[in-house]
Amino acid sequence: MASMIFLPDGKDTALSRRNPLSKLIALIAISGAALSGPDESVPVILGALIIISYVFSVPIVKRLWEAKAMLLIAVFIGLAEYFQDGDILSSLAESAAFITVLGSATLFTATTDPVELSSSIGSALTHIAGKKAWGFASDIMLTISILPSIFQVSSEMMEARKSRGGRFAAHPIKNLSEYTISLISLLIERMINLSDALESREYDRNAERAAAPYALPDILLALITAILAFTLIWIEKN
Amino acid sequence: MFLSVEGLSLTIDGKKLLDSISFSAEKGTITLLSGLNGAGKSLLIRSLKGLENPESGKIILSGRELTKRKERMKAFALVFQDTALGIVGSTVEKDIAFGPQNLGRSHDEVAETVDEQLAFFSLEEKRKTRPAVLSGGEKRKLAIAGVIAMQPEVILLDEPFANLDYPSTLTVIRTLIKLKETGHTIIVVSHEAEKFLAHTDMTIILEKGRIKASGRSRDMIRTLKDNNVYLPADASFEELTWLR
Repeated sequence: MASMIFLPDGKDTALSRRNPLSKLIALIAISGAALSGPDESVPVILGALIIISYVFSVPIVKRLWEAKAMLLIAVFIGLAEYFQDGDILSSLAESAAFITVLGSATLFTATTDPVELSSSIGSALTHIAGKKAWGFASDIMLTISILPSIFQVSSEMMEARKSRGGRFAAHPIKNLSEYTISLISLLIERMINLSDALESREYDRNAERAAAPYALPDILLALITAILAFTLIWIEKN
Repeated sequence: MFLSVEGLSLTIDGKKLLDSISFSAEKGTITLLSGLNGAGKSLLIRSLKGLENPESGKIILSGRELTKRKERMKAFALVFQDTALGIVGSTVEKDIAFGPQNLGRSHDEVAETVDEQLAFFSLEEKRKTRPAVLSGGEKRKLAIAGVIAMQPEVILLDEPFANLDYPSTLTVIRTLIKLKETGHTIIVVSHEAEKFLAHTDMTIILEKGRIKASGRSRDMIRTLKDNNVYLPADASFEELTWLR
């Protein structure tokens, strides 16, 4: 699960060099096309996504497999659709659409630096929100950076309890409250330490940051995926 | 004297955790801060850095008193024991750039600093590497490079050898020696004196928030042993290093 959250692999590829905002637009467009486009287009989009991920050496199938809870949700989505409509192809398409969204998000997070993403968002939002946008962008960056910690702390805590014979299922309600309290206190401790570390490196939440520049491929990426998504959604609606 | 700390006291929740700490350090030297757990070593370097607010005392650096927290933040660099906390960039070069960028340096200045630090710490080949995949020693080197890039006047290291294997420990010791040779002033909090005492100039032993003993490291071997700091029996001062 944690592997799906911003874990840039640090590889210098054509995709990692793209502007984070262009990639974000492409992610939204692909997700929109998969969820609202014709069912027939979903396997094509998913297939293309898998090919692209292999071209850029991002193991999205492996990462999706690690996120078994999300795959389980995909199965439930398909089952719910099947029980509602009785159409097996449509239910498979629904599951595949959900996996496509997860896959494209994984590709995005594996090739995007959270710091660059936040500076790009901050830079774009200054036109609307002025200087406050930098604070907002910093919050996005910090939240993204903190997320893997939550999963790491949670998993370490579970393992520690398991290794001492703790069984969650024995007293689920009592254990849930204990887990939650321990998790929150551990996270608060970690956040305080992170805050000290950032402060000691002169991190200023509201400071203006240099955003990644835009190049022609960035515009093409955003434009092509957006046009593709609009076309597919238009076909489905008509 | 390059650095003088005079009568530094810190009280938290009514408990005096640092009591009238005074010491000094010359430029280009390594000072070892030793003592048992809870002696106040980490609190002392956090106070120097400005992460704690001592209620009294003076910190004088190059003849000027650092009265404001911001001045201390800039003058002192702190390398945390948990390196994972200090490393925030998604690649080695981005992490080194993080501090100088926060200081508002220009793009060219940041790039130049990053290149300098990568060369100094022999991390050029790891430029695009994710910090998470570095070895323990390399991570510690990166954490040090990240703060040196901000050009501090004094470097504070909290337990730099903690959780490191033998080769990684050697990497960190070599880094400390290189920093000292290039004129950096370093204060190291450690209870593992046997690993690098021979490279230090001064030793301070803390106990319950007070300085129990201090002096030239060469003359402190007996005192360290008497204060429950492990040192191999019969080892001379020059032998107290893992770089032998």
